[in-house]
Amino acid sequence: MSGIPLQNQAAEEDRKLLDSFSRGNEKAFDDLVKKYRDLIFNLCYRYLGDYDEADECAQEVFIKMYHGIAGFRMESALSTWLYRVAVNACKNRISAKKTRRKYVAEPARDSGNPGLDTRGDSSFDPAGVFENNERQMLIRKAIETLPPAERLMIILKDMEGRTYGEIEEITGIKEGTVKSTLARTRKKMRILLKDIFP
Amino acid sequence: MKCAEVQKYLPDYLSGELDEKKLKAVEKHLQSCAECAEELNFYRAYTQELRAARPVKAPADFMEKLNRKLERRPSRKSLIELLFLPLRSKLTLEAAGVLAVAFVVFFFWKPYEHKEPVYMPENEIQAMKDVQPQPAEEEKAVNKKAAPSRTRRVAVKRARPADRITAAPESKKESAPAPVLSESADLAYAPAKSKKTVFKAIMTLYLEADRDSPLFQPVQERSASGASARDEKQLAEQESAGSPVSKSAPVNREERRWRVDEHMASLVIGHHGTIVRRKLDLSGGSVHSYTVELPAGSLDGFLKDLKRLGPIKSAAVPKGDSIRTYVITIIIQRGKS
Repeated sequence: MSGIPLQNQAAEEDRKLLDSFSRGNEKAFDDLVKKYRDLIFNLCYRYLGDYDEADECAQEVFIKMYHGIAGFRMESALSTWLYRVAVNACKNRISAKKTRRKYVAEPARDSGNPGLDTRGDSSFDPAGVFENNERQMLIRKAIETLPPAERLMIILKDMEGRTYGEIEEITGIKEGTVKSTLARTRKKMRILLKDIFP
Repeated sequence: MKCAEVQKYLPDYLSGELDEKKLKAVEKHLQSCAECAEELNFYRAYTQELRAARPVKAPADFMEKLNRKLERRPSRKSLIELLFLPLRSKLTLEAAGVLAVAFVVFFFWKPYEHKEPVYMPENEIQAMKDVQPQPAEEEKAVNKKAAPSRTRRVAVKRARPADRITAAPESKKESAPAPVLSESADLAYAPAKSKKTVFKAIMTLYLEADRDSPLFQPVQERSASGASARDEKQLAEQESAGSPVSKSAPVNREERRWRVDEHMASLVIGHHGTIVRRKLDLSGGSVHSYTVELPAGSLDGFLKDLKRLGPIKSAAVPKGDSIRTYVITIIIQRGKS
């Protein structure tokens, strides 16, 4: 699938900022980081499940952007390019470091659901950051129990609503494989979330 | 279309990503299948719940940490950052700069050091010019013709100086020989190799002055002629009356030092000389030295007046017709009395 054309206003704004940055305007880089840092950090956090790891990973993405933006041909949206870099960075961390997963461990609540990952970590409390109800927490835990490849599909498709084309562009996985992976993963999610969605 | 196939398409059906043919087939199936309709409700709730997950914001110090890793300055603080940051390297540079300035100030400029007047060769030449009579017009013409085109800082060498002096007739002895100014300041002070080339004699005098020496008394008004340091008649009267010249209230060391200076200045100027170097013992000691230049004609009067200030010790005074200037170093020592 070809890249996403730079048609909308956001893409045009990105292109201007990239041009400005390539001419040495550091402020343009700052603007781009401010624009996409939450998006990239959020992806990394959902994928890695660790706040500090996600912070490091997101910074790595923007460092790569700082040094390697010349290789960006503007054939796709900048956000897609950043997503691809972020996904690769997350995969590298997962495979190389056997990433620790720091979750809010509430074993008492999870005791009735053997499918949920109740591995906990006391160093950080994500619930205080973004979770405001138990359903959200259980969904997130269910997602985190999935293998990384399946987790990524759920994040990109069901959480963020990316199209199959974008997912293929981001992950490099063909659309058919994406669809079959998603179908299989949703069945798992259906079982994991039977308490929430009876 | 069977239930399994329909349920596979349900998420895409909800997101509107099914093509027309599949869309109609799914809709038709859902109208007649309660199980698939229930599954559809699940996916609808599931999707809504997942999409409702609040995004997590990046840490507040994300930019700062990123800038640190990139070792770059945030662009919005351009001026302040330019001057003071990044602190790690700028502090080192600024400290090195301060140290360099301090080094220059203390070891080269030395603003705290007492500066002595420097005896420059230009001064010497100027003094000599003042003493020497002007050459005749013809000499000027010759000199002008032979003068080097370039400007030298020290010397103005006249044409054929040796010939002029050696060939000078006896009748012209009274007129001053043309000065042979060396290109080197040292040569101007060097002992003469030939008697006829000597124009400046160097000598050292030691003046011993005890506590009651007139040197430490206030300077009296000089006569208008300026030939003598003090009026001899008045001095004689004072001496005959038995009153020492300087019997006044005790003065402190500082005052005595400046009285010495006043006496010497008065004496030298009175004899048409100039003080080219002065070294006052500011550390509280009692040894001062003066280097003065005197025209040869003023030497006798100067020495006579100097002897009034205290006993003088010196080597033989150089004499000669060709001596035009005396450069005398006078070392003033406190007597033992």
